[in-house]
Amino acid sequence: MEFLSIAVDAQGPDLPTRYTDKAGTTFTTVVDAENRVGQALGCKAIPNAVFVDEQGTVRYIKRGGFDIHRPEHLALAESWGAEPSLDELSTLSEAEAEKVIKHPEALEHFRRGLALYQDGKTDEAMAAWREGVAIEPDNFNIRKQIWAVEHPDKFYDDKVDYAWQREQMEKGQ
Amino acid sequence: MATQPAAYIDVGDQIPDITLPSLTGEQVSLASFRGKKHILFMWASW
Repeated sequence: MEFLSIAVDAQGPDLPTRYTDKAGTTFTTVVDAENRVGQALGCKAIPNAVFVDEQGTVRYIKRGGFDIHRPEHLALAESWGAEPSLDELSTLSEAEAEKVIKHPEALEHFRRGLALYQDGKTDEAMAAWREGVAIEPDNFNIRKQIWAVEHPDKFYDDKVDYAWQREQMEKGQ
Repeated sequence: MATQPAAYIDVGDQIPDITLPSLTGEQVSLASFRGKKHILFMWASW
């Protein structure tokens, strides 16, 4: 996972440079003196966090109050970063994929869904994943793709809601 | 001119391709992060 720090400093790079030098940061910091990113995203205050996936799609926005130094926010960023990416899921070897999804037809639907999602065809991707779930109803990996699209709040809003995920599995949703 | 509700980029939308100068003077484009999961963190020194 990459991290880009955007300093919304109208006076340019001098002040943020003092902060990043002091903190010894290793990631890139850019200066957005005119708050162009904030305006595009409808952020009226700072600090904000925007999670963007491999396709350049915004998956989560925390407008205001995001503090990477707060353990729950750091954990949120780390858990999102640690989730297998769509690219990783779609390039699983046959042996790995069979461990994750047992039924070959369900696996086919799962992969087709990923490819559709990557093409920006979210509705068709959801339909493919639902076909996969119909074949393998207790498969967490397929369900999770559906949940992540339908309920991003359960994934990225301060914490990954594992209790909710367990509940969904129990209810067969 | 008719007033229209502001259309903001939101969850599910593509991140806009904005290019900004880094602290060390390079031009960094948001689009250059495509292909990798990334987090944009917006803050200020003030």
